[in-house]
Amino acid sequence: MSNIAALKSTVSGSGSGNSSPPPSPPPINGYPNGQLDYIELSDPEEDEHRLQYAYVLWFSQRQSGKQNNVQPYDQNLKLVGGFNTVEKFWAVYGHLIRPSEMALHSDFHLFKLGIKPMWEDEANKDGGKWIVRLKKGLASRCWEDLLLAILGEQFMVGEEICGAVVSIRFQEDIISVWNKTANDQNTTIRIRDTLKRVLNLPPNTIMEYKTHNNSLRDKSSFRNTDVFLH
Amino acid sequence: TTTSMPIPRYSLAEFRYGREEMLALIPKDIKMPNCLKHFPQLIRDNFQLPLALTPVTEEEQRLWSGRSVNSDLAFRASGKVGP
Repeated sequence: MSNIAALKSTVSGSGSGNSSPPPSPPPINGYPNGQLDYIELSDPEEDEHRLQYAYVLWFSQRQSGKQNNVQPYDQNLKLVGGFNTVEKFWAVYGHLIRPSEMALHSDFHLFKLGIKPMWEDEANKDGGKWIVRLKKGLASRCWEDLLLAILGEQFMVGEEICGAVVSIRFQEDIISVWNKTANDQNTTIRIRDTLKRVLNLPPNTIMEYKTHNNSLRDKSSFRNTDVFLH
Repeated sequence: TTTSMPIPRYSLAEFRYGREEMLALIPKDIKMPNCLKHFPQLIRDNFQLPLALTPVTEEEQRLWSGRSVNSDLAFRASGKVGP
């Protein structure tokens, strides 16, 4: 079986941009310190249904007990798996716990193959994200609905979607959708409206938008957002 | 005629699946991908049906039909007092 997609990349936002060649053989699932991750996706079988893009699922969890967490964000990122067909998606998704069962301060990140779930990534640097902060108890269903809509190409914004994140936090769970071009208002509005529709959000739901540039500036993912009320 | 907002043009994706199609394509025999075995804290040995095919619980129904699905922190961020 041949491989159509292989990603070898340094998982680092700044600094070590020029990666040194990976030692061989590459580990199946990253290196212990998270510096390098590797994924291979096999060609779709004949009876499988191709997705428009290949996707990679990542997991991160803030180390507990460290108030000033000195460990860089990317070192907490773990590559869980990838898929390029509907069938392979179900195999991964169906064997994972739900977001509601995850520990506090942990996240699932689903991104297109080749895009790291980081503000600094080439595909994200001019981008931003829609944020929906949910009461506890709603995130699992919202996350599933969102995944189905992204994988099924229901957002209808060309190649603008980069990925999505579900974040388990104290007293709330947060769903985010990242797109490439933060200043493209046609696109961001379309994403907002589609997000509302596919998650079945009531009309009064607060949605927030934040550019990754602003996140880099205040080093915060969910503070100082632009708030949209309807 | 004028429209208040221009209709953006995007190229249509070649591979599109509606929600029902995605759900209809769940394979019969489904094995755990090997890559997941590195994450014992995240996995379940047996395949779980998607939530879309499982009934909404009473608790979920209560939360969805409440005054807002947003967390209190969302209201604080928006500058509003609360739902």
